[in-house]
Amino acid sequence: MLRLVLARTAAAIPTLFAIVTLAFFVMRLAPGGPFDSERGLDPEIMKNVQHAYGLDLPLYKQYGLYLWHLLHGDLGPSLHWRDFSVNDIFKVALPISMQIGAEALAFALLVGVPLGMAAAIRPHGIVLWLARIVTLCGIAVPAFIVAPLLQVGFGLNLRWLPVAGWDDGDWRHQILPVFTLALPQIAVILRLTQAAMRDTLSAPFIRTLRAFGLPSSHIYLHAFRGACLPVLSYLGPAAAGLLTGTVVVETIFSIPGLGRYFVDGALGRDYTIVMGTVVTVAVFIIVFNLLVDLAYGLVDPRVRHD
Amino acid sequence: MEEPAILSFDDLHVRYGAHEAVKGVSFDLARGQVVAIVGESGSGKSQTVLAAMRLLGPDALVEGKVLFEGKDLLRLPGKELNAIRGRRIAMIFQEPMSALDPFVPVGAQIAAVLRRHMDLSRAAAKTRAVELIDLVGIPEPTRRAHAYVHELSGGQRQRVAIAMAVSCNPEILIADEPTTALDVTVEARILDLITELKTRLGMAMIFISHDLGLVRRFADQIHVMRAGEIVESGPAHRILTAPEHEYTKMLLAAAPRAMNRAPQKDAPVLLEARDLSVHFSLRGGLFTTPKKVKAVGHVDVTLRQGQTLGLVGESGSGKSTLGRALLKLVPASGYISFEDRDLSPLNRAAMRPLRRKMQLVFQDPYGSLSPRMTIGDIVTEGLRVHEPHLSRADRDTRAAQALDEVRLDAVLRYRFPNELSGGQRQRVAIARAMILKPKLVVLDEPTSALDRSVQADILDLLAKLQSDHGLSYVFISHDLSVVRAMAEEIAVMKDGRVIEHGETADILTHAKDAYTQGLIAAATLKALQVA
Amino acid sequence: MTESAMIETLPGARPSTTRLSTIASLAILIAIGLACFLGPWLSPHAYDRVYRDYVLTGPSLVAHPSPEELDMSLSALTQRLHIESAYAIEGDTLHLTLKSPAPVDPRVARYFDHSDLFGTAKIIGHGAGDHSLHLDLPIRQIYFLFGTDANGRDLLTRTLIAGRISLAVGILASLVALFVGVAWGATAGYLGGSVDAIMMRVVEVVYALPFIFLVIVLVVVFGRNFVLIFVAIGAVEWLDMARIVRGQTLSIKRRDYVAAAEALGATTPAILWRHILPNAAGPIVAYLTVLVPRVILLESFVSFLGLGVQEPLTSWGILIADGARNIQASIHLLVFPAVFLGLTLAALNQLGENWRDRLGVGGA
Repeated sequence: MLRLVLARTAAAIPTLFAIVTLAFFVMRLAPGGPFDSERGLDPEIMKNVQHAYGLDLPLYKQYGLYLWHLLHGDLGPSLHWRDFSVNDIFKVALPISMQIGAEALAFALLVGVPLGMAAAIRPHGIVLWLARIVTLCGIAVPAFIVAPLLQVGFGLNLRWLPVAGWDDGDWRHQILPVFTLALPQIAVILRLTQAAMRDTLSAPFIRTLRAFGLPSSHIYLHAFRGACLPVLSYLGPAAAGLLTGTVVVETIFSIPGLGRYFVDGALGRDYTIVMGTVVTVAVFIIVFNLLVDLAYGLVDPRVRHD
Repeated sequence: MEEPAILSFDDLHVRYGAHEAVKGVSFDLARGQVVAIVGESGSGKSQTVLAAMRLLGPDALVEGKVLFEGKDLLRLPGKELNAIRGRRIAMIFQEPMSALDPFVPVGAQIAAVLRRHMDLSRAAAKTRAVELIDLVGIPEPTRRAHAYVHELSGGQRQRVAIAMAVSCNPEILIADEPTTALDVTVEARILDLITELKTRLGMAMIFISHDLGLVRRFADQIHVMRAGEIVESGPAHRILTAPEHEYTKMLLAAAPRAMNRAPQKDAPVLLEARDLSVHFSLRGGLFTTPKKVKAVGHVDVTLRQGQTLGLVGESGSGKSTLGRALLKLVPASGYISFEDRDLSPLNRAAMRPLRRKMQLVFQDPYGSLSPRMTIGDIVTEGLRVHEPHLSRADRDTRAAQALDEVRLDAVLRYRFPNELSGGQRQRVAIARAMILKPKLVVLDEPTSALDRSVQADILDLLAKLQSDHGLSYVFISHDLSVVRAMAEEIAVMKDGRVIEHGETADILTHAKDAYTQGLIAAATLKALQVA
Repeated sequence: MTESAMIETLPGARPSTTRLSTIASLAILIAIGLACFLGPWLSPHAYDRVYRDYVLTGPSLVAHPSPEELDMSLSALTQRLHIESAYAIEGDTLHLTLKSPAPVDPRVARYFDHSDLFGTAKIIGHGAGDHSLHLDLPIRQIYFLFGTDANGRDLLTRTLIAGRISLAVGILASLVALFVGVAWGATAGYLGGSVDAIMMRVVEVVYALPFIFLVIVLVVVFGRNFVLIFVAIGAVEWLDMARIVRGQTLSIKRRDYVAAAEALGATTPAILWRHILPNAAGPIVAYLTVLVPRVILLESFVSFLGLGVQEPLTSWGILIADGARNIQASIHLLVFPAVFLGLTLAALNQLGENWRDRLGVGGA
């Protein structure tokens, strides 16, 4: 297990290096600079500002400096939010995004897995229809359609929940974003669980359990063990999907999370914010995938990391 | 003998839509009796017992009665049925790997059955499970109880399945081809175990097999099934000595006859290999050095024109790898010559013109034909390589001729492999090799995946082609009885080495090595001792 | 839980519903596809034509202008010119009388040239002392089945044009991913060894890149142009395809029919072309059915954030973003493109699912 962790960490270093390099140079190739919006800025002042952020240095020096700072865990100063470093911003924004993401994932699992199992065990009647409708909604109605509809329905018309904003994580503000974020994941998890459960239930070892007169509860429990493997391995992509989702959800619901800073940063050429997000997200995905692999080894005896 | 039946099948039917897999099967099983159901693939023998235990899928429509102590199993409420399954009627399946739960240690699987039926505490069930694992002859039972299925060998897996089956002292044991997936020497030991436990625990048994020779030793009663019907029933002795039905006669006659051909020492040497070794490297990462595993080590082979060399061994013995190494299809070290030409230095491109003289036929006729090509395209693929000037029409004509030579209807060349039976497919594979008029053909278990009746036809065809064209064969098989029928010389392989080598008759009568003797014993076990 | 419940979980139970849903999905896709590719030519409205008099009109099957719209338009005129008006409608013509204390300038008629409601005005006659003017105005009958957007453009035509872009991006990006992925995966899988190790290492590195973030960066950097969008999306979506094809190739490579071809002396390209690709086609197509909706969704998503193709061109994502902005006043702006997008996604998914069921390949 330790070896897997070490090997993955070693493998992550070139990956992260490639990501940082790619993001750095692609971003700098972009026409326009971070201070273009401030029209009429005196060329002299502009020069000073550029100098202050080291943007007048040759590109390779900027790159070297960035890497050097990054090695020390410093993501640099934000170019847009003056007086704030990217670290300062992320210190606030990252926990918000992670909170929404984790809640959405938990919600998706809590709904998707039991519903998928139920639909596999009893593939008829209300359960199956419910599963079908939920899947269809998750697939056919993307977050950016769901979110405005929810805002109008629950926020403006019914006035049950706030339309947008975060309010330091007041629970009422979390319901709509988390639901929006979870819906597409529910659909995938439901479908995966259903298919995996159906496959496992028709596996020969389940037939053996039946041939030995073991009760249904025992059989379903054992089938679930096999069926949860595909769901487990989906959690990696799910995390990536949730991160994508936060971009939309945070934009629509005006939540001061990572995704919103990223979009604003990309549009405003806030190099450091964009780079910081890309690096953070990449690290997050790598770590999460490692955790999933470790968990997989615990559940499936055929895959042991020793 | 004349005890009342404890299990009786009464006019059992199994239908899948319009197809009827089992057509009115009736027979009785008495206490302590062994009934064997014998038939080829698709005869409905497994369907019969699975239907009785209500283990078929929802698309199977089951009719008739299966009476166990007067109660119809097919109509019993689920709870009562579950009290019988595993407790009073237990089953063993063909594939122990997939029949056991991969996520649970084997000891716990046995314990779960014990706790369900025997009302044992958790600890008592655990102890009992270890005893059972010991009973079926697995060494270090306490440690093995914690093992997962994938950590056990094939034989041990089936032993675990047997332990589970006998755990609750059932009155009836149903064994559905329990040894088919195993090597012959393992098969013999598992059969010993089953028969011993059967006697010791006084169980009645239904034993399902495709092999009449196999059930000869322990069956009291034999039912021969074909196409969903029992075509002949009777005491084992009578069936084997005086079969009445044509099909039974055919099954008995289908055992390959030994030819006892003497090797021709003066024929020119076609293929010679010296000190041939094959190593496989297990894939390492980009920066780790790959581990080397020896598949074949320091083997010498000589094959003369028109002769057949039999390569015998169990799975993993390296016999298939050696066969491919002789054709330079896997990288090997050592010296190989073909028609007195040194092949060792030749690369892939340089080998290409020689390929038409050396061909290969595989075991699995389902896997060796590309499912997306027509039979005609498959048969003529070699012509595309070696006679690229041929027009489409020429190739079509040649395909028809080639199919004709393997006694297939030439119309089949417009079909796809999935429309053909196993035997037909194997003929296609042979035609693909023969169309190039090769001198050497490596036959890698060419009949192992086929039913007995088909097996004999294919062997006949191969023998005829050999004498017509003066072919040399390397005949690879795990089955001595088949090799004996085809080869003048035999090489016995184990763990990548040739442990014994000589003329067929010598090996069969004077085997020195214990392993070879085991193989011979296993083969005679299955052989039919009928005139 | 009963025995029968368990038995029914075995596969192979519902062939008729599968068939029906396949046909329905195909029908929906063909209908949407045809509508999007032919519709804009058949539509009387150009997708970028602005009707200033019809801003945010609701969807309706009735021709415009309605009496209220006529009335409103005319009262706006009279207010602006400080004159009084009276009108009567007769068929497609509106008889208008303008009155004013001061003489009415006949050039007033030109005002109507800019109106979307009327054709060219005809002066019938003057009243006494030019204090009134009689005009005949042909009423232009226009249909806006889906209504209009905030700029007064026909939403139906725009939805169809948007569909062209969304579907085209979906298909083209998937093709990019298909070619790159198949070539990469098949080569790595067939050659194996260190070539495979290096090629798959590259895939792993790219795999850890945060996709969406990269697409956004790429689009921001290189501008919002159609070709770039599908190339960018294709460039990040080929990885799964490469993995699937490699896996297939690895398993097919071990099949006996490939060994047989090698024994016959067939060359590597011939084996790849004749044996490996045809036999990997099923899973490739199966993955393609996952990929196309995913790409369409990704494009809509990028467009929604305002990074898609540029106005006046449009895509479903842009229209949906528009709709979300005007959701309170005119929900139809959201509903129509959302329904098109949703139907397309649902149909493609269903089709893919049925195909994978038939093939027996699992996965999402």
